[in-house]
Amino acid sequence: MPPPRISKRTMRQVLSIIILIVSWQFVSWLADDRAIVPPVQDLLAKLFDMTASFELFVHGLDSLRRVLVAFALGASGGVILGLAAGAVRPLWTFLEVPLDFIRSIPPIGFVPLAIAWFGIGEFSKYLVIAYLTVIVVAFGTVSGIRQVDPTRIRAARCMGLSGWRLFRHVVIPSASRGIIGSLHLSLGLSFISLVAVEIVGSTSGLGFIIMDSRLLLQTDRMIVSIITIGVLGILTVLIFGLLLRLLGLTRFTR
Amino acid sequence: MRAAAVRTLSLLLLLALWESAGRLWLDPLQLPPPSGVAARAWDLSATGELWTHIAASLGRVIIGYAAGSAIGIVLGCFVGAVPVMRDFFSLPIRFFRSVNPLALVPLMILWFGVGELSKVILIAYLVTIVVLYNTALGIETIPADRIRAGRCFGLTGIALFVRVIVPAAAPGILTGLRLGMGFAVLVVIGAEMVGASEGIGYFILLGRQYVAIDDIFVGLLSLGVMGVLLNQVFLLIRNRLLRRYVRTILYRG
Amino acid sequence: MLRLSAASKRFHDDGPWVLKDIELTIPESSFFCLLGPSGCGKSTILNMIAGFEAANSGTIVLRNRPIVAPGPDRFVIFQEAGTALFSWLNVRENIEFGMRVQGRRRAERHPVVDRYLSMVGLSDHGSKFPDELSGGMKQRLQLARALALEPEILLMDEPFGALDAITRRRLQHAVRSIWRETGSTVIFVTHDIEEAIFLGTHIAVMTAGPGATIKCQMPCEVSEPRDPSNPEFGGFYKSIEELIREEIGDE
Ligand SMILES: Nc1ncnc2c1ncn2[C@@H]1O[C@H](COP(=O)(O)OP(=O)(O)OP(=O)(O)O)[C@@H](O)[C@H]1O
Ligand SMILES: [Mg+2]
Repeated sequence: MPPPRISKRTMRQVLSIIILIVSWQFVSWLADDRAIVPPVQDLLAKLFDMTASFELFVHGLDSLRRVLVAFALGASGGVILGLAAGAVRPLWTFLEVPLDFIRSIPPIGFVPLAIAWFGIGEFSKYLVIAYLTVIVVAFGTVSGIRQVDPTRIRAARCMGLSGWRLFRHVVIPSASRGIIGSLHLSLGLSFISLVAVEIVGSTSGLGFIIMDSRLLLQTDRMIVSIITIGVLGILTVLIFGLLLRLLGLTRFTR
Repeated sequence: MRAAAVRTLSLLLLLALWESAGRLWLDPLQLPPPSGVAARAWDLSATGELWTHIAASLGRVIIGYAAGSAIGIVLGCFVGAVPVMRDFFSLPIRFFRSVNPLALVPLMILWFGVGELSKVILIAYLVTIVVLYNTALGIETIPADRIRAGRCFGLTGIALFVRVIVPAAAPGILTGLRLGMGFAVLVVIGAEMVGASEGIGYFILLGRQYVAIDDIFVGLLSLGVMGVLLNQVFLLIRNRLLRRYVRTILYRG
Repeated sequence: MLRLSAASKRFHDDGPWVLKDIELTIPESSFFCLLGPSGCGKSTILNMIAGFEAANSGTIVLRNRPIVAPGPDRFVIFQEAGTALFSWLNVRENIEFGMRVQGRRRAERHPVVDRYLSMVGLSDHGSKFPDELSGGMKQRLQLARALALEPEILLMDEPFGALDAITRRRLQHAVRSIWRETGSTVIFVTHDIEEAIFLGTHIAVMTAGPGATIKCQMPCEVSEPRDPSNPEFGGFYKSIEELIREEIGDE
């Protein structure tokens, strides 16, 4: 048996990460100010500190709660709205233009409005994160319903399905592909909105730490938080995908 | 035709509803009616204030976007076409793509100050990543036989690249350019809220500080109109000038 | 003359041999049909002749010169016309493409395009794009695009596999008459025995992979007009079918 060989590809990928880290160290050395461009060892030390003091945990949990609650609300709202609008066409003709207009405004723009209306409490944060999910999922649901192959509907009619039962057993499952796709998309977008609400008006969460570190010139704390948000985002999307598979919903995405 | 009529009607109805809500039930200071917002927008544009902010935001977006898309396309071609580069860039690209764009706003300001530089660099960086990724993906997913057909004509190297590979990857490149536009507008507003003295983001934040909700509305509407217009211009260029390169998207052919 | 001697191919350094010691002699101006079970390596042979893939050992020689890279003297008609055609060029521009690459002038190009357009019966569709063509029209366009370069060798990889019987028969006639007119060499991969006998001057049958070789190579001398209902045709068909059955086993 020859020893297990590491493929060239893997070696290059490992090398690419090493190059990335070395260049960072080099830039840090060039900048000649550990406070502004902290080298990797400082970042790791900071990561350790922030973990030990539970800062990452507490604020990470706040951020996670905001995303998850808002996403759950927004996704349910979006699916219900989308299904209703897909079933009742005039409703969608009515909503499409205004929703599309709102969708073209970046979510961070709504943060000051939400704060002015509802204060800086959690409600305004949920609202800003959730509204985009509602719109994106509604659009995904409606287009999923529109794209159901007419042949499939005819086939179902031949089997005697019609009305609500047709909608329930054929149209919704067929549209699930579009719905699930838009859920994935809007989960990613929710993290962008999350940071929007946390950097503009918040006293907790990872976005708040980022802003707080800026005032205190703590670049290491800032970068650790930025990376933590990224990791949190990847993990959440990953777990969401896993959850869909466990629930047997991936069959609809084929 | 009928759908268009219903759409127009829906918009009018919505405006009427909003107008009466602002006038009859709710405090017009809390929910300024469309007429009030329009009047405010008129005043602001007459004094030129609104245009200053729009121009500031748009200028940043255009410069950063132009730089980012140029760099992104060139690097993306490089990464997509050279298998070794693909291996070298795949993990770094995945890392940079997963970094939250708005989270970088404070960092960029810390590094490059509150001036124009930090904003343009941030926009350019984000656009580069998105365009780079989609360009490389577009090139990687060209069917092997299409490139082989090009080689049958005796094409190699740069000639093959320019005449076959880039046109074949055009849908991917254009997808990247379109996504990049969205990121550019998102992040410029973020940067203007965190540290700027002009721009629509700054203007909206100012509206909140003075509790001038009609100003916030004017800002949001300008953003919406800007987004719609930028998208329309993009689609116009794509579907008119570059139509032949996106037939596979338009007609799924 | 095109000659493959002891040509072997595998895709990974210690993977199985896909092709082992291929010996083929393809005379000039022949219509050479290559038959073999699915997955035995027919496309791979074609790719090696085209210059897309290099043999790991052995030689492939065209008129005393080894083949090292693709070139406009050998043109491939791909199985999937949709991917092989350039979706961003219309029918005329697809045909014109090769001549543009060669730097020929516009005045020179246009009559050639017209000639090949009408040869494949697409004169009325010159300004359509590939996605607006039917499967058969796409395949005819691919043919015209190749012919416009007047390659010495046309390499065709199951070009008509996905077409209906009537279109297929029409295109077979067209290819045969073009081959007669131009005097080029055609190497035609197919899994359809009838098609091979109908078209070929020579037929080669491959063994099943892995490590496939050429089982036998013979001239195809069925008298004209070639007609499947002709007993001579039928007899030849039976003998080739027998050869292939030995390879895939009876089921
Ligand atoms: N790029 C590749 N990498 C690895 N293996 C390959 C590659 N291309 C082909 N093969 C293998 O080589 C063998 C022959 O493939 P090839 O496509 O030449 O078969 P074929 O005779 O053309 O089959 P068919 O009649 O189905 O088209 C197959 O076992 C296939 O799995
Ligand atoms: Mg094949």
